[in-house]
Amino acid sequence: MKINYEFVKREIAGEYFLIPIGEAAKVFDGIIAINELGAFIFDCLPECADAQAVTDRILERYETDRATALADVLAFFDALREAGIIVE
Amino acid sequence: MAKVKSSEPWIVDYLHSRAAKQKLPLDVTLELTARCNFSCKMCYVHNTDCNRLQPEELTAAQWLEIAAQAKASGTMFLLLTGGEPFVRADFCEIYEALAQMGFVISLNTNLSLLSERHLALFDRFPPNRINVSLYGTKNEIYAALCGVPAFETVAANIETLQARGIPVKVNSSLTPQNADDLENLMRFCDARGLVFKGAGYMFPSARLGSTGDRLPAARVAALRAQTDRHLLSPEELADRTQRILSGVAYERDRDCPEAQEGDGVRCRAGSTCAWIDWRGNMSYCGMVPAPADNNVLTQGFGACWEETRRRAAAVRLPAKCKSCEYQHLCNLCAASQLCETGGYDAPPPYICEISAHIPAAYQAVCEEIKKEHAHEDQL
Repeated sequence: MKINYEFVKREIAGEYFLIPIGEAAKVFDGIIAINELGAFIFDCLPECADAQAVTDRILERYETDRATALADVLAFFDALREAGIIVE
Repeated sequence: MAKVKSSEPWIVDYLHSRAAKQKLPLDVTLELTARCNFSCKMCYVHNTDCNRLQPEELTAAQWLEIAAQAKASGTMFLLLTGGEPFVRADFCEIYEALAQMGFVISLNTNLSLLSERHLALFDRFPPNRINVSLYGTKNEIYAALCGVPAFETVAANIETLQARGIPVKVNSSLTPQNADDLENLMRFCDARGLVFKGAGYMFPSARLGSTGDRLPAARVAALRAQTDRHLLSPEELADRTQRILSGVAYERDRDCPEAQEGDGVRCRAGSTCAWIDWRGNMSYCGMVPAPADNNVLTQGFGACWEETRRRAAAVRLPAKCKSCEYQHLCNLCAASQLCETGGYDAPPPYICEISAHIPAAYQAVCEEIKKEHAHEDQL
């Protein structure tokens, strides 16, 4: 999993955003609003090799079952791929 | 090409609403310099002493420290302005560092000094928008108003930015030197798909202590009607004119909404927006002098923001405006009130006069349209 680190996560007024900078700003015109779980997953990405590893981290922090957490992670990964944040 | 109207993404409005409740400085203007290669007659910042005062400008490191504090305080949007930001040799250094910090950056510029270095920078870190001050459509107008015959350079640079996909908005200050060129300015923008905003009302420079070379009030009112005639459909213009004549308020500039009934500050100034001048002093609006004892370098960003909010919250516009028959179309705001009169007690005569001329100005424009249609029908 390769991450495009030209997105800066910002917490503004209690909301989370991914702001593209550099080349990413040319590809993605706008800013991405994410929820608290999205922000948590984004922070996990540098240390997690795949969706299973991210799911492990979620289960350490949130009370949920693996299937639900994994489904959320995969759905979020799809959104990140679409925005060019996960590039492969 | 169709006329382009300015619109703000809903998320910006939403964030300002959230930030206002949480008292956050969401949107901060950094006035990087007071220096400028132009010497415009109506400028509220630049004067001929500015070059001498250059040593008092903040360094790049100081601006970046301020930005870091702003980011920690919740700032998302930055507007870089001047003077002319491109006169700073270290502009690229400042801009790149700010972009990498994750700010959404816009820029005010006269665009006469755009270089390959700037373009390469904007290719790597595209700005959210570049606001270009366009003063006319002829070199002679630029020479008369700004002291530099720069129109052709600026026009070419606008096209260069557009060709690179950078959003450009045009702001035009209308003065005795260029007011006759308003139609040409609007056509220039239409032809290029540019958002246009013209202003015939010029603040007196409270910061420089001068009134400047301003248009007569009746002309300011006529220019407002002329601009609306260009931007609105005939039906929209007729509706607006009817509202003006019947005393009904209508939605206008969202950045600078009109004042009402002994109001406080109605725009975002001092609520979610702050301005830091070239010496590092913070105020709620760049049009008013920033207090020297509210300096971000010495007091810290957070303390200055609290003081700015306090000062803005204390503003109350003249009670006499409450009963004015023109309040529904008056452009008075906290900053213009202070700049015009030096206080918040008495209504400013120049703005009162402009407001009094507006109904007749819109009626005149509607009459012109009727005559033109009648003439077309005869042909």
